[in-house]
Amino acid sequence: MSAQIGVRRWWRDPWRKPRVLQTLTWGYLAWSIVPVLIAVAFSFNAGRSRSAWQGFSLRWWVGSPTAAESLLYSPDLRTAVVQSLRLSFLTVLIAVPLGTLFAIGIDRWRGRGPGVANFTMLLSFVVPEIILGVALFLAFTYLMRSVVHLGTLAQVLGLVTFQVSYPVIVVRARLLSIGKEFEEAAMDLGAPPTQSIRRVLMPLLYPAIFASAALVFADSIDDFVVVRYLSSTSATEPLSVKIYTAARAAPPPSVNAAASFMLFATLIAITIGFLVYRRITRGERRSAAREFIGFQV
Amino acid sequence: MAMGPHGRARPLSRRAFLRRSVGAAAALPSAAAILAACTKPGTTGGTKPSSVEEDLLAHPARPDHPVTLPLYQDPIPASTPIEEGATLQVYNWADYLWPRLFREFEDAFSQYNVKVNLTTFNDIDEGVAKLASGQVTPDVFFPDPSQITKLVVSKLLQPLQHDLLPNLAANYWPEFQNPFYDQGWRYTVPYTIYTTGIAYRRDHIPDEKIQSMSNPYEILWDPEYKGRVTVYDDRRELLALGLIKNGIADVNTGDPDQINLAKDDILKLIDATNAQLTINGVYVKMAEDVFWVGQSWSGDVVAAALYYLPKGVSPDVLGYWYPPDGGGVIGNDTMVIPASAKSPRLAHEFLNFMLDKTNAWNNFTNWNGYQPPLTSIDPTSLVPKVVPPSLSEAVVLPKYFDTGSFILGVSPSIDALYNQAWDEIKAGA
Amino acid sequence: MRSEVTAPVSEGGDERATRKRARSVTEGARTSRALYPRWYWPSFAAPATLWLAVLFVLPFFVVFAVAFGTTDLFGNPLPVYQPWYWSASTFTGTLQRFFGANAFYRPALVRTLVFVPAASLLCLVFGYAIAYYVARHSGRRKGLFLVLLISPFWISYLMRVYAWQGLLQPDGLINKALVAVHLVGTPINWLEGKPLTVILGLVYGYIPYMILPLFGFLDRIDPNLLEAGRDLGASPIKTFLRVTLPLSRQAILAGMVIVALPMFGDYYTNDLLGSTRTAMFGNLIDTAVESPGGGPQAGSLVLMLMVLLIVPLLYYLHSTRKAQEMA
Repeated sequence: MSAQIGVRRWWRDPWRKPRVLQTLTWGYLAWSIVPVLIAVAFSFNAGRSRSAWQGFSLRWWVGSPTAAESLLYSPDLRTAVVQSLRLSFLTVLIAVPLGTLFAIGIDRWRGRGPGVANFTMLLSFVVPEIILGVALFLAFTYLMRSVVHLGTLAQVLGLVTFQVSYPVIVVRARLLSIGKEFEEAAMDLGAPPTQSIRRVLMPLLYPAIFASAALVFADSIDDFVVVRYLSSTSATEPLSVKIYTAARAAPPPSVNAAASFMLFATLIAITIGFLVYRRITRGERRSAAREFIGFQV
Repeated sequence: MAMGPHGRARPLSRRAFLRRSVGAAAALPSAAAILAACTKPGTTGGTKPSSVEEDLLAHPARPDHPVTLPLYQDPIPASTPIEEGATLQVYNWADYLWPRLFREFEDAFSQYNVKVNLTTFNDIDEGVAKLASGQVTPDVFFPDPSQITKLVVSKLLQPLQHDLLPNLAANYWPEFQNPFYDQGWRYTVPYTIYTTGIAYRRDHIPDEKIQSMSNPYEILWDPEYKGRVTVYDDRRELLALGLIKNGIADVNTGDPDQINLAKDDILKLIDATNAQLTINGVYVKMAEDVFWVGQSWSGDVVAAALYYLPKGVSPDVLGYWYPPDGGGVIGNDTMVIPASAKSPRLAHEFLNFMLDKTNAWNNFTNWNGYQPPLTSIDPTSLVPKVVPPSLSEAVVLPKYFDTGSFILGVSPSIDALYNQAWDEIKAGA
Repeated sequence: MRSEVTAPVSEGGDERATRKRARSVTEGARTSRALYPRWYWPSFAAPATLWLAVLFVLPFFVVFAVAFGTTDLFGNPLPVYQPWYWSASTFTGTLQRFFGANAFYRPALVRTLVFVPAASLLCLVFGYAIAYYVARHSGRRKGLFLVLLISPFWISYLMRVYAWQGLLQPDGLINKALVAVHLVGTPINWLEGKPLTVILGLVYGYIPYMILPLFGFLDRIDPNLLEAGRDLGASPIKTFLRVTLPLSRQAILAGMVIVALPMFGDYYTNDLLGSTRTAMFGNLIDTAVESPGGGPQAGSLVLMLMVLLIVPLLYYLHSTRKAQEMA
């Protein structure tokens, strides 16, 4: 009897700890992250299996040159890693300036033009990737075949098209919170328009530009649908496509090693990005972590 | 005419001009394309086949109807120099060519500073599609005979210069000296030969069980092995299985009823046993005891026994069944040089290199398990030297070429029937 | 003409921002017109607009040209760029595969229309609960939770599903665990084409996209509103049902759209975790792209998918633009 009263009292207490939700959240985080940790762990497996632990070994990471089965000595996987990095860097280099300029322009442009441009940009954000992938594949193979061949160029063009909306969204959000005050102050003090943009607006935008660069980088390094349709020889297949092909066949743990390598690379990039971001926004009040992550929310 | 702030009419503003020029620039590519394709489609654009070609497509090569493929260009002269510093692009099935042979080839031609790069495809349809669209531009390609006519007529292949391929005549089976699908070896050279039978794990299915069945193909449909069955993710092979299991020996039939029968039976197969469509299901997964029975090429089960079994597992655990009367599917793969090859002379050298008896033998015994039709190999001596005794039926004998059914090209309208059946299977209906 | 202008009140508004906006309404007009020529701002937006026009809008036109075109004798698509020559034969043929006599595409469509809502709903229920917990009850650990919640974004989707594929093998760790605690007798073959596996795979892949927007919203709810509810005597559950939930309606809808739209085009989850028996719409498109003569088929399927998604797509664009205008 007292146990029942105790339970009911616990149920009615408005300041009780939400145990159910807490368990659920920790359970979710474990479900979400542990499989990846296991996959990383198995990249150090001494045997060929992904499910039976047969001892610790570095053979899939370093191994020997003659066996040519490890990440270091397998030209296939190395080329794939290099291609992934190449595609992401090029995409960031093109998409971030393009998107930033677009965001600034759209924010201030008056008239009928911005509506259409804005609509198209948002559309490119919500369209499922397979639709864009097929459309670009058909376009490059039949319409633009004399101008653009399938391969790295086509992959970069496709990735930028898919990613350009991210910088736009992030920078626009930042522009809204900045407002026009600072530029107007600069102009009141006699600066010509280009200078007020370059020396007042841009520095204020650096955090957003930086955050969007990190976002685009992380997203394009994992991108799979668009680059697969637009690849040609195996040299142009990035790691994501290699994982996909391998997972449908017989993936040896060297694939785990390659994926783990990319994981570490992305983590390092994000950490560096965050640290630099924190340095840049030193003067501002809000918690840097929350804002950095807030851009992605 | 835009109106300025004080009501004065202004000439076309720069913003409006920019807007319109952006629109025009965007419209340019489509305008150009429209102009280029201005005539009604079907009259130009895409080569209209001549009557010779139409005849070839409508009446594809058959063992009793040999075909001499037309020549559209001359083979490269034998005096063409070897391309220096070139990278030979090889386009092949996955796991089908021993990687060490690439290094040996590079070493043999090290004075020309050549390299070899391999790109793989997972099924022949994908390979041909990418070759035809120009997505991949290889120097060497590995199709099977069902694709040869189509490839030649689309002018995708170049004829071979046989003065550069002395190993062909010297080393290969007489039955192959003048194949019916390419009389005179104008475009192809042979690579491997294989049969399509049933591979099974003898530790789960005793030999007697399969051999005592009146129609051993039915074991794939047996619900007792639910979840343990694999078949090939290959349009023609899977439908051929459906045809042969129902007693239809002509695996190139154009009869819609027969094709539908095969397709329905395959759908029943997937329903009854949850059969998985794979390419590596036999040589990798059956070796790992994931699958217990499956449609298998002879080379796959030999490779499984020789290289993919876990340590400590004896090769006896694998078995292979092929109709004793030799009435199953038989095939061979070929090597060709595409017309767009950037290093044709080097490609010829590679073909000759692969036709060498030692290299072909090493490829077979050290890597893919697929028998090459070399005269130096006596098939009866392969067991037990190379092929485990439990897989003796996986050895391909010359007489199978008289009794077996080749999967060959069909006319475009019949091809469409096979495509539709395949689409239905893949859509999970 | 000045302070009578009432600026719109923004959510959680800054006083400075309000004053700023009021001033810019009056002065912005003057400054922008006088100091910036008419073409100035559009020229910023022009490069990206041009890019999208050539590489986004134009390819869609090519999809139409291929879908309504023909194929040559060898199965290669022949796109037809003049709309007056378009032939609807492949398109109607594809429609028949969905709704006609031998409608063998229909199971895939039905499956997609079942899997996607099921997975989205699961994402919503669990995602909301987790977002709620982290936003309101995580206290000092909020930063840590946030980092952990964000981490799936930086791990390749493919790698996460690939990791699961390893666990779900017949001899994988999941089966080993289940057999060890005697929940099942023999290992279950999870990867043979079970709808459950595919649905859970989709949830696994897409739930982070649901959690973060919901978290963003729940984090910014004015706590006064909730305290008011509690002060007026409502139990925690009632407060949730009558205050929090109605307020989160927009965020829920946005989250559902963000999660459901990509799922409709998903084919790789099924490729890695399922079989042909659980083929989805995306698989139909993928098979068509890779098969000989499948170009027009793929084009028609892409167009059909766009038609299917057009309503949620436009709704999402409309509400996003409204939100942007209000800000």
